Amino acid sequence: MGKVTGISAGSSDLFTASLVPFYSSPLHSGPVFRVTDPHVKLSKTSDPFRVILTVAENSTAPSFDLTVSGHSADKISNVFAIPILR
Amino acid sequence: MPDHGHEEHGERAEVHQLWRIAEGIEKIEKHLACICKALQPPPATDFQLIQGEKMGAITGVQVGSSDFFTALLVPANAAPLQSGPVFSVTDSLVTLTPDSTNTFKVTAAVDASDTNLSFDLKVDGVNSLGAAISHTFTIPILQAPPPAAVDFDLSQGA
Repeated sequence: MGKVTGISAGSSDLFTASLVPFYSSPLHSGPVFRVTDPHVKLSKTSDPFRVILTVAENSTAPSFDLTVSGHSADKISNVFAIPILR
Repeated sequence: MPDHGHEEHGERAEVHQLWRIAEGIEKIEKHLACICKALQPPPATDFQLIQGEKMGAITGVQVGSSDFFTALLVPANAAPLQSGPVFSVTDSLVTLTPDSTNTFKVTAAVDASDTNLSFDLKVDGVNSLGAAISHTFTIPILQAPPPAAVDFDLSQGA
């Protein structure tokens, strides 16, 4: 696991969300992953904090947004811009 | 001529009756003493300790916070103490504050820097017979719960 570098069009990779701070108490609900780019497919894994993202070969956007949300003491959410590499 | 025999016999009978009455009174006195003894509350033999507003079992005090404890006499119907109870702790990071109205109640505050897993709360007193009674209770020091998450981080790759 490392920094977010991006996904090449036509390929997929695994992404892992983690809580900030890392020693936080467990979430009441979530995390929920969401992408709005129709050229990006999001697949769940057995680990609720991990998803596999697949970028279609015909994607032309330079990046897409991955939103991660959940409910801790309050609702928390973060949007990560994932570069699409060519 | 007076009948002295009859007179003497009557006096003896009266004395005998008086003796029987005296014996009866003595028996009643003994019974009353037993009843009085049975009605007297027993001396306290030990202390019990309960925690908090709901007066429940000891669950512990979270580090950096406080809670109050109430000592109870064992048995519950024990006679009042001659002196006490006196509360004490050996952990210098635990502060005891006696209750202003209830001498059986004390508040224990655990300093935020206390790293011990528990502290001993000792309760001492002198019961109605003049005997010293004492009990040391181990109170867990509970660690602060982890904070709530405030954000997400994201990493890539297996």
